[in-house]
Amino acid sequence: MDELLVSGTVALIVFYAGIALVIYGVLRVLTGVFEAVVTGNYLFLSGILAGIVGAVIIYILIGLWLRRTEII
Amino acid sequence: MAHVLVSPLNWGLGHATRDIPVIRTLRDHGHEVTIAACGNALSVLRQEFPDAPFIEYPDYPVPFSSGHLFVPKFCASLPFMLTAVAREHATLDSILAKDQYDLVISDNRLGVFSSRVPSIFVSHQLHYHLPLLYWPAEILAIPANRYLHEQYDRIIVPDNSPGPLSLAGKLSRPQTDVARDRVFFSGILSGTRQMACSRDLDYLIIISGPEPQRSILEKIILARIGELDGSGVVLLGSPQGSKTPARRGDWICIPYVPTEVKAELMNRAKCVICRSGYTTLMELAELGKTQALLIPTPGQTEQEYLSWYYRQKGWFYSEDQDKLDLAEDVARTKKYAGFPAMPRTADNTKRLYDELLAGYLE
Repeated sequence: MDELLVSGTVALIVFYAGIALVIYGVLRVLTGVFEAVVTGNYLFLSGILAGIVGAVIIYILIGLWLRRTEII
Repeated sequence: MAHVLVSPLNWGLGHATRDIPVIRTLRDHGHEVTIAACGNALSVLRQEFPDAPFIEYPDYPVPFSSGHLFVPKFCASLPFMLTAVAREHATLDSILAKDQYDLVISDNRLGVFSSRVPSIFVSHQLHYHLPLLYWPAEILAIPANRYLHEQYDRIIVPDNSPGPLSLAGKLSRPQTDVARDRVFFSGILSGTRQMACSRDLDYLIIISGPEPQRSILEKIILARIGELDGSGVVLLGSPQGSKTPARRGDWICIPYVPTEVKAELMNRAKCVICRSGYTTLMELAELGKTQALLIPTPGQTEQEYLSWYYRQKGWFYSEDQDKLDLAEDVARTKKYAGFPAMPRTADNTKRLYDELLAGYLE
């Protein structure tokens, strides 16, 4: 089999697995938020929301740092 | 005399037209050039080199989206792209088996390389630029590009070396040792030549790019050209439309013109309004244009980056198509200096041949 096809297929499987993992993580968090709202556990809800905001800020800061250092 | 296979990608005419000076140089040195391409890219090169041998060599469709969803749609299209590239690579083997070749030059065709014949890749994008939120994908593209670049003996980047004169900015910056070892910065390569003609046209508006964005821009431009003082020509970039030019006051709208006529109009224009595709930008550099308004195709991250980069450098003003205010935007273009002086295509192709191509062919 063509080496190009094999390497590309492996890379794509890893890539899509990563995307699936991220989607799974997002769904789990959203489920947690929904359950916290339904059960009225607002302390837990605040914790999750604070975690989301923190994660988004860190994610953006990493992106900005990568740009600034010209890694990307 | 050596035999070279040149194969440009048919995503717009940019790849084919920038290969014209390279093919011309090879033929001027007495080498035989076989052109392997498809679609409009093949038509343009056939017109330019009618006596050259041609091979119909299909590539793969453009994975551009109709809006701002370029990245997700591009990701979804990757398996199809991979299959098409593998097919393209297999086809090259059969092309090379039928004739003797000394060099393969692939302009952005990812499957056009060979382990038996020295292969050269032409690209201005050694690194992909994506919106900030997609930075993990940009990181992942680095090893993917590294793997791709490893398949080639050399990489010709039609840009000046990284630094103050770089036209492609971060796009042409080598990120890996593999790219750094192979890269050759040729400087700009443009099929458009300077002509001795008067600059009697106030504006040339070139509407191009994939649908439906081309039609959207056409609608916006035609509704607003009355805001501009002076005369001009609008090239609609629509070969399927009516063939007859239409007059609108001091403006002439032409559905489609051959590349030679477009080159002449560009030479005559004082101000060019166009998409920020890299080949068009090399044409502006080649012709020494100092006044241009760039309108990036929405969702095309490369064009969006180049527009931003040129504005930062003070070279050209750009505006999003949905925020266009032609009179005001054109007034702003006058505050920008245009590209700095740089070596032109004639010098660049000579250096490219002497320092790189001759080593494989003589």
